[in-house]
Amino acid sequence: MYVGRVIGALWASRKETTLTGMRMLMIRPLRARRDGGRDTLDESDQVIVAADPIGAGVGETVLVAMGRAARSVLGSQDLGWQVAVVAIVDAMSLGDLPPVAFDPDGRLVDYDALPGGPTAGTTR
Amino acid sequence: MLTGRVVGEVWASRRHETLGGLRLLIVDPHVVKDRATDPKTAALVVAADTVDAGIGDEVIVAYGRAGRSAIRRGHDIAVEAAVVGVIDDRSGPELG
Repeated sequence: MYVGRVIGALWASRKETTLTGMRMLMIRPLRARRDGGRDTLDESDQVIVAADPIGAGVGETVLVAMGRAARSVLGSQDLGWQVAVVAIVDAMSLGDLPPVAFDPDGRLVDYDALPGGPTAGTTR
Repeated sequence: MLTGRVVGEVWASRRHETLGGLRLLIVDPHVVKDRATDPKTAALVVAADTVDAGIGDEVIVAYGRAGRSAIRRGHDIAVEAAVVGVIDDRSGPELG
């Protein structure tokens, strides 16, 4: 499973019949980076495609699962598909730092500094 | 399977129902230190905790059916990876 940021959607009208109606997103997985001796997050250069039954939007951080786990959330194991968004991430902790999240401009900021939303620790 | 270090945790309120109550850890996969780049090439891995691992612990992660077996909630769940062990000690090259 990966955490990643949604960078766009894609459409394919000519596709295998079990994929009809599937909403497809393009996602960049997050990777680790050291910044001044601390762990921080960065978007990898890889792009993966995932079905999205949850309703994530561009710019949101999502949790992505593969294989049977992905098809479980899509409602059938008999699909020609392997990857799905299984959750929309509110916040992530890194080490003992306060929870962080991406703001709409893609900057990693303190979650509690974002407008709206509950405190991260209450949403697990 | 892979080993890595727990660097954090994920919180999600909008999620598939089968994720409820699971603790989701962010694991930075091990690479051989003298080949490590910054930022790392490999993406971070998210795995459900089954052994009460903490931030900074070095852990073992299992995938697929093996990971779900460790979670003990059946196989029709939205989880594909689980932390199944905390490493006490290891030999071999330095890992980063």
